[in-house]
Amino acid sequence: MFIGVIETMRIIFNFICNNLAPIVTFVCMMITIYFARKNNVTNIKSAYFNDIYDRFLFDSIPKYWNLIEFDKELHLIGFEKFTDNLSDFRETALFFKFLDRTFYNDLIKRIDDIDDYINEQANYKCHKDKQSIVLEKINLKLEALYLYIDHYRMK
Amino acid sequence: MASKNQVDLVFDNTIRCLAGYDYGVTVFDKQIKEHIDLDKSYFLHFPKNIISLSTSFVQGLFAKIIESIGKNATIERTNILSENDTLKDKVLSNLV
Repeated sequence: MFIGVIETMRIIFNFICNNLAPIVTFVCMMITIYFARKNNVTNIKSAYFNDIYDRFLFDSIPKYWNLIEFDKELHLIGFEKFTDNLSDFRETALFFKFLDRTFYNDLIKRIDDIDDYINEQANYKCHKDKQSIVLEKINLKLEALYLYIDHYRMK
Repeated sequence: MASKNQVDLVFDNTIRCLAGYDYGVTVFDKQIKEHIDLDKSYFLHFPKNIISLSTSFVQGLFAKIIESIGKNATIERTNILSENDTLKDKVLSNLV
């Protein structure tokens, strides 16, 4: 019986030795494919982020944000280009719907929140004392959007 | 139903901008749903005091239309009447 056990172990050992090279090759191949795909997705993601940063976060959003102000009738004005730009940004971000649905949904929610807030505020006459509060609130929402995007980019 | 398959939307005179997905859905339910035939070209007339629409409002306004006839038919059949040209662009760009 002891000889039988040794014989079985020898057969198993031989089987492993004979098949080890193909198994190791297969595992290495799978690891290589996994990292290549991961790298590829990271590169595409990175290219998209560069585009978003260049076109929107560095350029148009701050530029059009500067045009928002209150007129003599105490109405919020000069926001149309800014909100149109948010719409363009929303459209550009569509790519993330297919890459990371959770991030995309949260991003859209944040963009819409800014857009809705500005459009709602534009309906009211805002007393001079309160105007800076409205502008500051838009600013804070924007800051939170930038931080959210930057945090996701660094992940 | 108007013979032109048109709805003249009504908002408070003090309102300049329309915002919010839920408000868009409410406007559709209360002012549009029963008054237009979605099987043919239709017209939505915004009063002149409306100068801006938020993206989420547009999406709420058209959510049930798109659900009913699809995105392509919605784009083909929707006509926006407004003294403010940017409203038309806003609607169409947010339907695509």
